[in-house]
Amino acid sequence: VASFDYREPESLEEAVALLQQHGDEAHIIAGGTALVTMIRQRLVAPGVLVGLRRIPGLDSLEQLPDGSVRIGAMTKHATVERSSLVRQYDAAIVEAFGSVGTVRIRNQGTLGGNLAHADPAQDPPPVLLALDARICVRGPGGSEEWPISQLFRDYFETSLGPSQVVTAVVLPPRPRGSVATYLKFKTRTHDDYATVAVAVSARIDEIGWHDVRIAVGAAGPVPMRVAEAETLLEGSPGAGEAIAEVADRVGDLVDPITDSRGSAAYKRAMARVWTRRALMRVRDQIAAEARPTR
Amino acid sequence: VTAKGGPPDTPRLLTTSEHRVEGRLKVTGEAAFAGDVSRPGMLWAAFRRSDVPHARIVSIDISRALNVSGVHAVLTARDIGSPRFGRRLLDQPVLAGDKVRFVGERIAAVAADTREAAEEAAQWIRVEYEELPAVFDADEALAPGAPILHEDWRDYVFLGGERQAVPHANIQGHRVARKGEAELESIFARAWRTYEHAFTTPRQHHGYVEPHAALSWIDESGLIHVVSTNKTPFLLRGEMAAVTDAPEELIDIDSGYIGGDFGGKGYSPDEYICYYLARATGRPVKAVMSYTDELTAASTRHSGRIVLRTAVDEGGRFLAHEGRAVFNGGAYAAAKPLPGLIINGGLDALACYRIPNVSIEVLTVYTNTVPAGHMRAPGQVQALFAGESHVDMIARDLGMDPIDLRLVNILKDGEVGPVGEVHLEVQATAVLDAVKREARWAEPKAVNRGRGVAIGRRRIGRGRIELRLTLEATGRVIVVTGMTDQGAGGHTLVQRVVAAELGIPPQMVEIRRESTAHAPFDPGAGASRLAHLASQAAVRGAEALKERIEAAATEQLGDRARPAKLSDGQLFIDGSKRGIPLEEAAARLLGPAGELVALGAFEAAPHGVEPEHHQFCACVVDVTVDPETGEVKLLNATLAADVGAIFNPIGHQGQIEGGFAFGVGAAMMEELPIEDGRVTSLNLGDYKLPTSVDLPPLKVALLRSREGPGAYGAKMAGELSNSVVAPAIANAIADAVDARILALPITPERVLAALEAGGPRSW
Repeated sequence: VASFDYREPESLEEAVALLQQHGDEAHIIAGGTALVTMIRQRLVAPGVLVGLRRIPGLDSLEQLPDGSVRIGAMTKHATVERSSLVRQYDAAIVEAFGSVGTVRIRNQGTLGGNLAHADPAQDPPPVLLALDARICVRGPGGSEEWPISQLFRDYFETSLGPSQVVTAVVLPPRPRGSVATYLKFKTRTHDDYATVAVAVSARIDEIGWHDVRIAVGAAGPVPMRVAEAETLLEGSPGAGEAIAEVADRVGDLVDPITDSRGSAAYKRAMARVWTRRALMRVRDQIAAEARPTR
Repeated sequence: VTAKGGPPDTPRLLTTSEHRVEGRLKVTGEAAFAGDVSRPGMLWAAFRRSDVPHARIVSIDISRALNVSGVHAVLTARDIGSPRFGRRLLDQPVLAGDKVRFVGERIAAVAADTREAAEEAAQWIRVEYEELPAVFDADEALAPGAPILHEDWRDYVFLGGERQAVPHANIQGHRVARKGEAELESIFARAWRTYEHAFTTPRQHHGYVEPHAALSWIDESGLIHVVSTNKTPFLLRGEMAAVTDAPEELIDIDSGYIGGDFGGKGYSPDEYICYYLARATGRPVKAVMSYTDELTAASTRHSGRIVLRTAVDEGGRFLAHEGRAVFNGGAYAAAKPLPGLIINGGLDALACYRIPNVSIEVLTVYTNTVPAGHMRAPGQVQALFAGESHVDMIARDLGMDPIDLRLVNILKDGEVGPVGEVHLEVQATAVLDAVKREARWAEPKAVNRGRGVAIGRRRIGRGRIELRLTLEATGRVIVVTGMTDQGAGGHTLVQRVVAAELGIPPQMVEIRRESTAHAPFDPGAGASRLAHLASQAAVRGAEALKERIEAAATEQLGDRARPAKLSDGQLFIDGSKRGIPLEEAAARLLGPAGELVALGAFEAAPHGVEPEHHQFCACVVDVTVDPETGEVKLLNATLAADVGAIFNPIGHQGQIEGGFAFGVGAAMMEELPIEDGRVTSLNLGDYKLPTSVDLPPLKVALLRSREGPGAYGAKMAGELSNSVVAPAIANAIADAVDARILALPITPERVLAALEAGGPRSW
């Protein structure tokens, strides 16, 4: 590993100033689970690493008065996975964060690092997309809040400016009756990245499906919402055939590449299968919750 | 685990769970591995590696590398006399000289104060290539007009005899084994049915935790010191002597603990260059591979393409069998230790069966890819996947139960195997019966569930080994050995056998591993030889030491008319019924020399000289297949294994179960992808290995044989269980969903494609 400077700012202002001062030389390090590997493999060679762990408040996890949940960027995956607040909000998040790598990775890797790394095969992004999360960003121009879908640009590329830092993710208040799910399909080991992953959030009333959000991971340059497919289901009663049609549409819309987890064609086919399974799981879960209990 | 049968004469001590000799050191992190060793003034080595698969080197510019601060030397082939190295055939350049033959090949070496400086300098070395047509596929390398990798192959040095002639410059090794009729076509023509199937298996990496490491320096006396991860240090000493022209007496190889081997640690590419850099700089020089280096430029399992053809009669009896296995050997044969330069397991596709007429051809072929070498049951993993799938396909076509077809053809005591080997005490039928019973073979299965079987046969390793035993005044017995322990428990085995033979507690026997300059000869772990040879040498050494002790006790303390006896660690002198514990008497026995020394030596003739004991292992796996995704879940597995005496019960269980896990990796996920000669899995995040959560519940039935070549009838364990796993799984998938997998690994995508192709009707 080539040598670098390591700095630990104690405030976001100081962090942003350091990033501005060192420009391209500087790299933020959060948990380091991805970055350290990249440094070791010489994919990046930062001159200065800016560690965020001493900045107070970045690892908070709290419910806001309006019912939204705010998760600080430095929150570890394991913390999200074990949080009862998060579980109450929606258990699909627990499934997604509990699927990241291994327990060692989850105890070290952070939410903000995961998002800024912008690996399309990561587990948290699809579920955060399906839950319509927003991200909070701090930079030289102050604080901003974006829909999370705006973050991802391309393989390992985000819209973050050179001196911008992800500070938190905000999950909006959950409409009553909404159900989400996350399905990760792995073709090799238990701790592998997804071959394809699908997150769905929706609610169903007597008319049909509403607030349908489908997000697919590992099936293109970015974790992506598939709005064209979502609209097919919006407002429809969504019987089996409709679900299959939506799933097929998702298969058409994704843009996977061939790698050691499968060919592009196979991943496309799997995007169909797992979208259908995710939609049916949401439907079944809603049906189960609607059933009167004695 | 259940153990049944066998002779009752194993010493009691060996039936209790062992304490590993090195366990505490490893658990506490105190054990020093080669990569942990440092010397004052030590430099680090780094390499400029080839970016292209096949090219003539036009020029190498090292000027900018020499200017990097901290750099002490930059060497190219010309600086060191263009030496070549290898375990048998010295065909791999220490540094590429005129040509490069694979991406990742070492072209120039840097020694610098730090690893970072060495790596930086290596990046500044400019190489100008004239690219040559490259060949990556073994069959293509044999086709007319294929690029020739080694124009001067006839000039290469071959260690230990004469190299067998090869029919083509791109062939590393070639063997044809025949039995019965010379002409098989008429038998095939007359047969009730004939079957032909083709299979492919991938490159794999061993996946050991510890990467290769080497450290070399030359002391004032001219002695060349090499600290190494090599598991066969005595062989490496000979190889280094042949390459460097230094006499063996001036080379001392020190291989300590080895962090995993699986066949990959007999090949040592960096020890040579560390020596040359040490010679050039006058400093100790160390090299440690990164895992990317491991995956791209160490050695791999051979990929294979195997075509099998078998003629059967109405009862399913095998009449004739023809096999051809073409293995991709990569750019160099240097990693192959056997004289034929093939992987002998490639002959074993139908080694479990009685077949009167056989013709099997095995080839290893040069291609412009990373070299292939030995990996746990080399050749057999590939051949058995093919052979046991082939047998299953025949059974299904004949409408026979797969186990019944195997039982019809399985070898019996005294019978001769497909390539002429005579089998003693064959437990194959018992193994099949046991696996059938333990796995509840006949139990009904739900939809999309299947059950598959496979059986394999493995030889027990042979060769020569020596141990030196010394009684100390404290009563402790010191065993000096050159045996490296790659994790399989060889040191613990020797300790326990010596202790059992002398009747003293294991902690009174100390295993002292020494470097080649100080230890008696050791052949190194590998080819499943260790339990056989080391146990015999330990028994012989203990017997010899016991004689020396008794003679000394008679001489020093007793009366020649009534010789002293050592029994259960007690000395009985002058016919006394009261024994003296050895530790009390030891000091008085040593005499003026201050020690009692005995040598434990053992040698078993090479394979094929005399009838041999072989080992059989059968596996049944239950799977469920998701027909929409092709995903295969392993529900449970059963192994029935033919074993001899067990020295380390926990270690033995670890070998059998670990072999199963290793087999699951080969079956389900491991493939080192090579595109246009370039390995594309560059780390263990991409190259996936199974962990405990990826494994199904495993039931193991051990069948204890009466005989075996090791002490107390011991056999081997290391390469027994891994080869049968992949074919059992493939056969279970065929049973579940009527889809036949002809290539490893069994990815969901392959299963789905086989399902869509409509079942196993490929012939």
